[in-house]
Amino acid sequence: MNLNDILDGYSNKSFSVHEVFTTFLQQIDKYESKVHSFITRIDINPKDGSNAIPIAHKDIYSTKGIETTAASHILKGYVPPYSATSVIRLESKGFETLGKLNCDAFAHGTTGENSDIVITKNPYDLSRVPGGSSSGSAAAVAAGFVPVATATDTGGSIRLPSSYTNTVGIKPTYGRVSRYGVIAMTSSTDSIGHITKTVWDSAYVLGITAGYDEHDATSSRIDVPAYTEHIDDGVSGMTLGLPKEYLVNIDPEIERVFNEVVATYEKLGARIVEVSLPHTHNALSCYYIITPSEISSNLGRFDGIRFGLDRSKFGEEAKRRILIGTFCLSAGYYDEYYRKAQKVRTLVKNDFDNVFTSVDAIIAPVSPVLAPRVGSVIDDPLKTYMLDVLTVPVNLAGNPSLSVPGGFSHGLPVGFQIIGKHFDEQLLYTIGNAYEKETQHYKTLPTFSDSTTI
Amino acid sequence: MDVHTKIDVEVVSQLAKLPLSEAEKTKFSIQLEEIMAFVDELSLVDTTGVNETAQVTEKNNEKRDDIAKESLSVGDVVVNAPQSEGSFIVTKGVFDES
Amino acid sequence: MSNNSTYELIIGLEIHIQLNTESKMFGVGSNNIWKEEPNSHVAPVDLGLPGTLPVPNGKAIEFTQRCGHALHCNLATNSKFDRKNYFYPDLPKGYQISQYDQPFCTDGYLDIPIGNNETKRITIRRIHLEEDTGKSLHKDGKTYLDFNKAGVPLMELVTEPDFRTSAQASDFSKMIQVAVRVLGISDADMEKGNMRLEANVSVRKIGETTLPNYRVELKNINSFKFLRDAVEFEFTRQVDAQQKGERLYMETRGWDSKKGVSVLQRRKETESDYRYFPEPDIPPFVFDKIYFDEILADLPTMPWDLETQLVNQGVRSDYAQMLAYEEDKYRAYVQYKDTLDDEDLVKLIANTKDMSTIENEITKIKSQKNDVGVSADELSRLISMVIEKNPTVVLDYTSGKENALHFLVGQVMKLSQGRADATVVREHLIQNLRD
Repeated sequence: MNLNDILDGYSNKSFSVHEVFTTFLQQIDKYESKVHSFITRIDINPKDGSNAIPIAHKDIYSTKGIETTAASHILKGYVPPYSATSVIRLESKGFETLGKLNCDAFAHGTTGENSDIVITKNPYDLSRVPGGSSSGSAAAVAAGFVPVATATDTGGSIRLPSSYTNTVGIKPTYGRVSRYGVIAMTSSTDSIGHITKTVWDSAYVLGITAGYDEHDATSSRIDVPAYTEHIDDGVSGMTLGLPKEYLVNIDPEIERVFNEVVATYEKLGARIVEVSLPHTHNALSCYYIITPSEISSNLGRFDGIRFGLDRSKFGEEAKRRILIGTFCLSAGYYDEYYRKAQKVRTLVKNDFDNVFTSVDAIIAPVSPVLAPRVGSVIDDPLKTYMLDVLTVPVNLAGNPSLSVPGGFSHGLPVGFQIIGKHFDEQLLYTIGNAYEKETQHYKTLPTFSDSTTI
Repeated sequence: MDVHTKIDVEVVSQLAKLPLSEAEKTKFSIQLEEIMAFVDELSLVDTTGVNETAQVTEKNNEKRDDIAKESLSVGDVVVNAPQSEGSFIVTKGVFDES
Repeated sequence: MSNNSTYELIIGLEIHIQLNTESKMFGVGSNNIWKEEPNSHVAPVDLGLPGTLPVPNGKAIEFTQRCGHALHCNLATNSKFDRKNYFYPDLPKGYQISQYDQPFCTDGYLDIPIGNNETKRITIRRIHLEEDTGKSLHKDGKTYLDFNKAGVPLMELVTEPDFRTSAQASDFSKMIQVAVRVLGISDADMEKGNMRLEANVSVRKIGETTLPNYRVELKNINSFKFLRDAVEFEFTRQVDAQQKGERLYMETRGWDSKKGVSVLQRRKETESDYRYFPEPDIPPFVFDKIYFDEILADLPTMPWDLETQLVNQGVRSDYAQMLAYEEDKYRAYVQYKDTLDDEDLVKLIANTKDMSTIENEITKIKSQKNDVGVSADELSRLISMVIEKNPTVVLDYTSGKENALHFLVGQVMKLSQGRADATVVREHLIQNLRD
């Protein structure tokens, strides 16, 4: 059952909180040993008569009193004495956590294979990755373990796994949701979001987490609209842009599914136009200078003195990024790398600002390839970085993007993204919901099979 | 740019206080060279007259009022430290001042 | 004994001042840490816990800007914080949030007296704001860490290498100490560590005009006397070395006051690579005229300005200096101004040891004066005369300049040859001007 069903059920008193929790816990018991989405499980006993809703948090969200590892050896045993603002806001609305979810260690990754703990599998094809870095979050929702899982998107880490797992993932506008309490990766692009089965569910949860937080100086003071309010308005009369740079060098199957998405929107009354985001191909280099640079600084606090183990215990990807980042910020190289990248970032941002003067939203594929098989890209760091090519530009510009199930390729989910102006999440939900109502892909449940037919 | 940047992993790992084994140093040297060759293409982008974007929020002047609120208890401060004595967090001796 | 007379000292100062705000610089924990149990005043952000974020203390920024203004600085309209990355156990985040290329204040100065009624202008290169680190205690081969001090707002003032004698450096530091106390932004108590001095010292042959290519950073200076001692020691040591033909390096030396020597701590061939970059967690600042008008209103009179004022009023220079620079006397003068004829008040304060007795003394003097006081009629007449003769000053007062009232009181007192009671005069003037 999804969130909407649960809320309806509570309000109609069709079922009890124990029935809800039992349903999810039974699903976990049945399939978690194949999926490996959890790092820490919490023994939960919801209060009788409460309207509690199960949730699980990506293990980079600080949860007071509950071990928070960032899926890294270096934080094994770390128990935060405080909770992330998002966690507190969700708790205040009745969300109780079943546990902490696996991810790439410190959110460094695109497949989930950089976790120091375990490799999460894609419930639609257990021989493939669910995508990263929010691997556990996407897999848990896809597998029916929780109706919603928190996640983060710094370079695509919500949209990519959502697109591989037939789930809905929101990367809100940078600053829309407080970053306080979420272990920082790239401070200037970390976007705090979540994964659900349906668009309405996603909108409902954003209404809880979004909004100014006095603990986060980068959080926006702009009012939070009612995200579910115009969700059924449809797309008739809207103009959707297709960025031509996003349609080259993609797998033919991705292209095929995406063409279906475009055709559907046309059928629903939207006007489709081709647009250009000329600096798209520079965005990846730009991102992979800025990101390691800020990571190298953010990970400076891990010295094994106040918490955690010593720095030799960092995983391989973390070490790689620390080295690149330290180099890019170092004397003699700062101007050539970090400063230069921040200038190119302006160009990437301007691309979006320009396009949004003539379209309501942009639709595009999320991944250039289908969900890779476990082990197929991880030995080549550059190859894993390439998976982000269609997602990082949005992070650099700070715009919001919603990943929605687009269709399937021989049983493998293929998602697409809807990119909007800053703080225009409400419109993204309207556009996404129109497609979901028409196609209802969320009804195609995972098979937990060992491989698909490809 | 024909000459690709070669990162001196030895120097950088010291700056980053990242202990690396010899095998790691060798492996990273190669990988980092590939990655830097890829990002080096940015030098070809014309950014004359372009300002840096350090922040996409377009916010300014975020400050807070000077009101003292709760701190952590001493117990919560030391609880995650591998070594503590009483109220102090302890680490092996450091004699070289910063 | 080396021949020091052909060499001169070149000294620059870095003064760190802990600001006495209620809460810390980037975290909301209490800033009152003196003698508190270790690690009892640490908020998650001060401890550098993963996921925590800094939110700047607006009051600390105001304090810094007020101080900068008092020291004739240019106050930046565009400013930001930057990260200064380095590793040390008492630096929780592995970086210090500080300011690099856009500090809150730049290009100020202070004129210090150097004898013979002459002054020397010391240029203040910059004043910026940052956070303090925790405290490390080294014992038995272990380092004990107390993070109460981590995150305390720290104002850093850097001068150009304008000092030529240790006394100049020490005098300047004392003036800064009084200034920040008068501004009410810091206790500036060196024993408590709320004011810390570092001197950059080098020497060159007299007649040379270029700055030496090295400087020695002197740390662990806990008093003005130690500052003078350490600088003098360095002068001798460096001149000695130069005369022997030894090379002098960029290095950090700690002052050992017990042994009376400076000890090498670290030699730095190059500047440390702090990998500064703009702090992504804190949006930049843009200050406008409205903001500055608001935060710079009601600045107290700075000691040097008060000294000038008093001297211009005819007060003897030693009294003027005393009242300007001895903090308790300064406060007494400010508090009791207008309760007594200025001349009498200055004399009283200068000659009194314990300021707590001032109030009684003032009452005594006033009661003496009342015996030969001024009649109500005469007072009325004098007041009307003064108001009529000073229309611009009256206008100043009615448009909000409180100091103008002081002038008018003085005028009435003068006309009454000191017989009137200053408090009464003041009250009557206020009433009159209100109508």
